[in-house]
Amino acid sequence: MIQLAGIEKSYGDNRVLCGLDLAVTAGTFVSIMGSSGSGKSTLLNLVGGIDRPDRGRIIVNGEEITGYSEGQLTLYRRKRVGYVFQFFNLLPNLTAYENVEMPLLLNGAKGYEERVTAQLNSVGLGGKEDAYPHELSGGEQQRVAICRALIHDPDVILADEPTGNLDSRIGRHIMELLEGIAEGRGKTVILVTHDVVVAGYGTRILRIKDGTIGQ
Amino acid sequence: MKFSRLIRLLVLRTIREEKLLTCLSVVGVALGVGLFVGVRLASDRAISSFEADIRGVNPRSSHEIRHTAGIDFSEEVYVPVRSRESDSFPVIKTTGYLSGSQEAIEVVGIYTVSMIPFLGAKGGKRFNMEDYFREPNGVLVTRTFASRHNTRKGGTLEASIYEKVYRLKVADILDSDLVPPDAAIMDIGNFQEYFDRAGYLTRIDLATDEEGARDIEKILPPHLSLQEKEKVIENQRGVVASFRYNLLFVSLIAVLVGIFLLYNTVFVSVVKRRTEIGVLRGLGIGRKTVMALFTIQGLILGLGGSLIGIVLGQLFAYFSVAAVERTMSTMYGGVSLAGFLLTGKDALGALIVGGAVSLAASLIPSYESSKIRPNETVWEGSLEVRYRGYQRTFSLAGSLCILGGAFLCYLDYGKPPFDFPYLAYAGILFFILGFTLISPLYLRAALRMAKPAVSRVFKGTGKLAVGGIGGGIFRFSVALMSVAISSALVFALVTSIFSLRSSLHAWIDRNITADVYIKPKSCVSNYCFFPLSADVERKVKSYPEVAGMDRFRVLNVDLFGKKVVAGFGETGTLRRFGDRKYFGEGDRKRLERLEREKEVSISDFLSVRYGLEKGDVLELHTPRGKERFTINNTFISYSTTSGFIYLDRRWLRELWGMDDATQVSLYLREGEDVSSFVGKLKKDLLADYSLEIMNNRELRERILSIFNRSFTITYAIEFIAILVSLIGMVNALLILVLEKKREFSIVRYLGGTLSQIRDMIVLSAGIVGIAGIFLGTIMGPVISMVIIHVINRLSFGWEVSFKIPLLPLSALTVVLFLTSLAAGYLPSRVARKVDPKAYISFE
Repeated sequence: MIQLAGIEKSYGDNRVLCGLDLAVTAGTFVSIMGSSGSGKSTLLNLVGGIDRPDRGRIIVNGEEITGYSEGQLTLYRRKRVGYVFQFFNLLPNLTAYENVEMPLLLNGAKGYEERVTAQLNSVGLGGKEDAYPHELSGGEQQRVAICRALIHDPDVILADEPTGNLDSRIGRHIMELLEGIAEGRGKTVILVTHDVVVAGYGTRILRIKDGTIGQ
Repeated sequence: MKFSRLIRLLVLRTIREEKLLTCLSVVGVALGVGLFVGVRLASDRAISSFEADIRGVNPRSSHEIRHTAGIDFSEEVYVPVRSRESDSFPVIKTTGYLSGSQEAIEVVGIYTVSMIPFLGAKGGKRFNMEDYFREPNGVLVTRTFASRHNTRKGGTLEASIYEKVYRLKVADILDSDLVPPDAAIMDIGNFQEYFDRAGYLTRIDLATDEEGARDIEKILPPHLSLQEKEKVIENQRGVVASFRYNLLFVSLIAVLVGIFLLYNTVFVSVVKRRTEIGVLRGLGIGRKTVMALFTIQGLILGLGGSLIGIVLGQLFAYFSVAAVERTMSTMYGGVSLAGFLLTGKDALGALIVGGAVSLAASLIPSYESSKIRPNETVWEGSLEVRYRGYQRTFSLAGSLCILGGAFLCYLDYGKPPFDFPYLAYAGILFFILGFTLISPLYLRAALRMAKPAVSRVFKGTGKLAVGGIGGGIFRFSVALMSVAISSALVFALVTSIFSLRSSLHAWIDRNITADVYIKPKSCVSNYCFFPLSADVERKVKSYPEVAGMDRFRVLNVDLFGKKVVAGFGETGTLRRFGDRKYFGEGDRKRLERLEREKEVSISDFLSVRYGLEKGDVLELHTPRGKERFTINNTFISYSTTSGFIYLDRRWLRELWGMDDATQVSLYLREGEDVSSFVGKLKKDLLADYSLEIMNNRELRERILSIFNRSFTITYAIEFIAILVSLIGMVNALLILVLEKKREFSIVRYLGGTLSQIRDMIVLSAGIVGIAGIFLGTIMGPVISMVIIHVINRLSFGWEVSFKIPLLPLSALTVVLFLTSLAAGYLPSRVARKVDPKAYISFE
């Protein structure tokens, strides 16, 4: 369960979120829509522990993360959150396998080789383990990013315009993958997008406008 | 977390990917560290050589008895000393020069019977006693010596010793670590007989305690002193410290430029990988881990550079040892530096320097990397924008550093608190730091001024170049500073050397006034204590061509607990025959007073170091007890670095009871041909004696050649400084290319040609180069003034007039500028290989 209450966030004079309230039940796939600059990505960053609100509380599975120290937030991101970005953000000097293993490596996991390979196989990237990001297509890079977001079994997957940089056919494939993750693995997925079709994959669609959420 | 795997994936992989940048940084650090190691090794070997000589063969010796004037003394004193302390070992020694290689050789006469246990120390090997004792010229040499001088058991060596040429027969090769490697050991009896030194000793080594030492001291005549060996070594270290530390400081500046290179590389890595760091932070990597990873990257590059630096250092050491050996022999007495091979300790020292350098260089960028937030994905320029906010603070701090540097230098100029110019060195480092902090503001101002002209002349290429530098002011400031520091170093050294040379010319004109100079050939130092034989003096004086002969003698005297050179000359002869052109009425009156009154002249060193001035009274220890002299004058002396006192010979006779000369200067009668007289002298004297006979011109040339030789290392440092600055520039421009690949691609898409991109890079190099060189021309003379008026004055006591060598500096400026332009070549080649499609098209 993720709860946001009275969240306010400004960047300089620009008030992005003004008293936003939101509750997301565990295992649901929530799509958040909104225009550019409406605060979608900011909301995602706040839930992901990447940014801090100016006011308000964020509670994830009963724990308030707004009071976390820098170190606690780092641990929170490392163990409980998986991120998927629009521009994939893979580490360019690491292979597909090495990119996916990174969260496990940071978590001090051992004996994970088969798990990483299986994860890559599950998204149709078997045989591409040693490929570097620049040797992969956009769709393949995004699938590697999804594997990286899932490999450490986080509670919540945050996806920021995951298909924004892909064509519609590949975008559809990626969305089906995320849908399967939410349904099949019972993960909470929060996706932000401005694309109505992409938002339609969510079990619940929310709109963000003037810094607050509307149904 | 498997940290080692993180290092492999995130550090080593990056280093592998950025081959060219890595190579440039590593080579830059290697050159700096290599130079430092080479120079350090040479000066350390010199110290070791002096120490080995003082310690002697017997490791148990704790004290030594020597003549206070630095000359040999009668062996009569040995009997009463031995009666009080049986562990006493007489030694007679001298420095000679091998005829072929002209290298120094220490011939040491020892009481062999009591020293046998130490001579075969390694493996207890017995040596060929029969040849050693039977042959009057039999010597034992170490394996290192034999290999260096290509000799073996039974071989002979020819050397100028005292004032004759002698042959030495190698009786056997020793394996003892206790024998100084440049020494040839003789039995003391053979030594005294063969070199006609019967009845003389140079020192008596003693193995005794404090009580024993005090007991022996009571029976010593006043001209002999007993000292702890450790104290003698400490004093010797102090004497050569200035020379040593000055060399090390200059080589440290090359290391400093290496720091800039490394800093730039790690800094760029942080800037380039900003997105990557953001992603890693998003994945849950902590700040400390990020900082550790970049610090490790810097350490790996620095230590890699240090490892190569060790190899380069070995190469530099080969040349440095020869240069240091020659300079030290001239300034401080014959020394032969045994071996130029780096030891494990030297290598460890190099690694420590490299490690410290890389840590210093990578700390700021690593800290910067840890500040990157997980949501930072826009990497281009964001760091620059943040730094822009600190520009005023940096400039203010820079100004304070420059003022602080000036204050420190002034302290050392006015009332130096230490014997060594530590504050002035710190002041120079503060200047460099200050100028570094101000450099972004300076570069921004320089760009603003250059922009209209560059845009008008170079059109679009010029605008792109100025824009490119403007967008990365802080990174280009680092490149600018590496050029500025190298230029400043080169300018400062050239100006200092030029000023010193000009002052030396003036000094030569004033002091080298006689027609002919004669001294023993074995004396390559400025001053030697062994006298010319009475026979040589008598023969020389008997020539009708000689109008006047100045018999000159040097001795050591104790002043404020330090050894100072005292020179005794015939003031009357100097006053009558000295060059009228340079002697004014005041000079003649001063010389007259020196001749008649109880007065002395002292070198500036003593005036600077002890605050002595004209009219002050100086108390000198003489064999007749303490004597007071009034200071008549202070003068410049470039021939010693520990102070010089000039007295009339009358005092040598009256107070020291001596009347011999270590060198003579001849003034010929008017109209005599100096060259033919010198030819005649050589023909008559060199058959029996090994002497150095020079006319006035030859001596002047000799002095200038010694001067040039002494600065061999300095020239090498200049060359390396230019090389490192070139690398710094290539490094900065390469970074520009790596960062601007996308911009270059857009230019190509818009119809820009490869040559336009090349021109842009070379133009950037030119702009940063000119700005750096200009800053160097400001910093260089400032540093030079500190070197001349503070460091040089306090270290060596040499007063030098500051003179700017306009022509050489102009030529050097052109060379440095062309070097900067050349630095643009390699990055422009890399830019040519950029594939526009890869950076513009996106799936």
